[in-house]
Amino acid sequence: MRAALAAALTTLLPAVVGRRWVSGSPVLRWSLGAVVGVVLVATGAVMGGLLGTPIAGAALTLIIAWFVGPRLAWRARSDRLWSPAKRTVVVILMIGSVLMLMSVFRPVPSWDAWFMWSLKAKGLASAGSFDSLVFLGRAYRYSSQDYPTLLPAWQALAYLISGDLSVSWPLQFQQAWLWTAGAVALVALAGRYPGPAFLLPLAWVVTPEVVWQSMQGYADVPMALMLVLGVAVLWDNQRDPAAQIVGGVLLGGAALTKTEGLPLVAIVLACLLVTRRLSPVLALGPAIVVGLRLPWFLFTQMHSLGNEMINAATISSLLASGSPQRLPQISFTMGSVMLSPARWGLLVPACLVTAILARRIDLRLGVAAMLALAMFVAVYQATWSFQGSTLEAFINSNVDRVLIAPLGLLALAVALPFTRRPDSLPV
Amino acid sequence: MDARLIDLLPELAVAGLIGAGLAAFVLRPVFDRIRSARAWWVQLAAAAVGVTLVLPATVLIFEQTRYFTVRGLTEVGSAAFEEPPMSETGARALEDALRPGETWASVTRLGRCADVDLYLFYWLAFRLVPNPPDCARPDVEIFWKVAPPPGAGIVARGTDYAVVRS
Repeated sequence: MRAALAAALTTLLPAVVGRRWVSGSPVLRWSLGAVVGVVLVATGAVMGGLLGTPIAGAALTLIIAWFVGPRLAWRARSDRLWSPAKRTVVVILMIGSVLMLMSVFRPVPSWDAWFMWSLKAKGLASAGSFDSLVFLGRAYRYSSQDYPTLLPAWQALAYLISGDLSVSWPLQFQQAWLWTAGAVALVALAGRYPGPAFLLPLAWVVTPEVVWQSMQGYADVPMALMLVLGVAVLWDNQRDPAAQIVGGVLLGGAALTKTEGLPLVAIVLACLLVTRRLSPVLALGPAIVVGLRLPWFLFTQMHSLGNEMINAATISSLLASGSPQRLPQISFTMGSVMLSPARWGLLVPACLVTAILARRIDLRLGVAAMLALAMFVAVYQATWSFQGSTLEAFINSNVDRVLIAPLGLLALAVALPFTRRPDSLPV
Repeated sequence: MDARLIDLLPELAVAGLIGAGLAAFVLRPVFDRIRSARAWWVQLAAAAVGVTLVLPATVLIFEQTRYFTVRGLTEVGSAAFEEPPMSETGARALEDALRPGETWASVTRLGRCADVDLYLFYWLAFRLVPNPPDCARPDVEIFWKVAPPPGAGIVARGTDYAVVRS
């Protein structure tokens, strides 16, 4: 019973508060608001965890967010979902409901997922602080103690409310909830304009790889959803302070969810903002990202928690070409995975063919997607020789998850220009 | 995983067919309205294939859920469809034997805290938080597929494990 309460409170409360940060149609408010709310409550739990009280941090953040939300709320230019797209939202809700129902019978499924994320949720819940064995003890070095803790902090709230560290289904429920809210929000954001703009984002979010990975306990899908939604909010609203705030919160959430979140956010912010005429409002989103990410960064620096994969040694090795050059094999493996219909459907070919036939792609987001892919190629090149396995085995163990965020950016890069006339159609 | 997938092919095929019907139903209103946009058919095809494939993906998640349910796993699963590194009864016996603040270690045929398979120690470390591992002087040890020394204080025993208090 308390586990059900934990699942309900950690998902519904953030949605109720987060919807006050978005104004417009109910679909957009509840879906995008739910994701914003999750970022806010989890960030509160991170800050609380740093001070020794995650529940108080989350509760205080929710109270503050409840009151300041309406003053900061972002209003989309056009917020009503294009009527032919409405069935899509219904189907996503149906699939999400099935995933949430199944989550009640599932533990955290995958080994890597609980080494890296759920273990920390359990550690934070049992100690009430990051200043504890799981985060600082040598016995838990294998769990990459420097990894950002937005997802574990949100999950720790579920453990704390349920009071049972041996039942983990509320964590699965949280992830199914986040996929559902994020998928609806993405379709609602891209489907505000008449036309095909929502189709490629839909193809991305329901692709087998994204749906499967969203239920395996990893942080990749939550991070990618926050990243892509933040980009969709900021894309044509960069001088709107409210868009900068909501977009900044979402991107800050992405940066605090995974190690690669921060460089991905830096890439998209640079690509979105670099060609713009300078104005103080453009600094708002990046400032929020820095503000959300900084406390955890300082904690890792204070306790000398370094990244075992990306550090001075591996970067030096990459720059000095110290490890055997395998860029063609890495690119080929990543390319063949992207083109696998069983994993990604027709997403990548459709993005490329659409960009060529329609002769339009958002260049800034296209460059961001390519830079994101290039970043992962470089990471593989720099780190594979330290893994103690073959390159193929190392890539195949995680390439599916690694591609989620860059392909989401690619889908947006091709789709969002269709929100502008003459490609948008009469209602 | 591959063998399981082959076994599941009929279910996946049926799910794909239903998914195709669902995609036609969902995207039909869109099809009627976007045909003057450039490259509309490419985007529509990508979305249709995505919606079609989401049902087989859901079937796989259902099968994975059933796999965990059959084994009574409530806390952690295992990689894909592989077996967990230790039986649930063994892990729970060790959990029950530990008092707050006590330390533990696993013992395999390779020695204390030495893994026969890489994940046994990690898997237990996850299960037993907040009790920390201590490979030098543990309060409680679990002997996994290896007999404990004669005279050890066994507090729980199963077919392939023995929990020993120091």
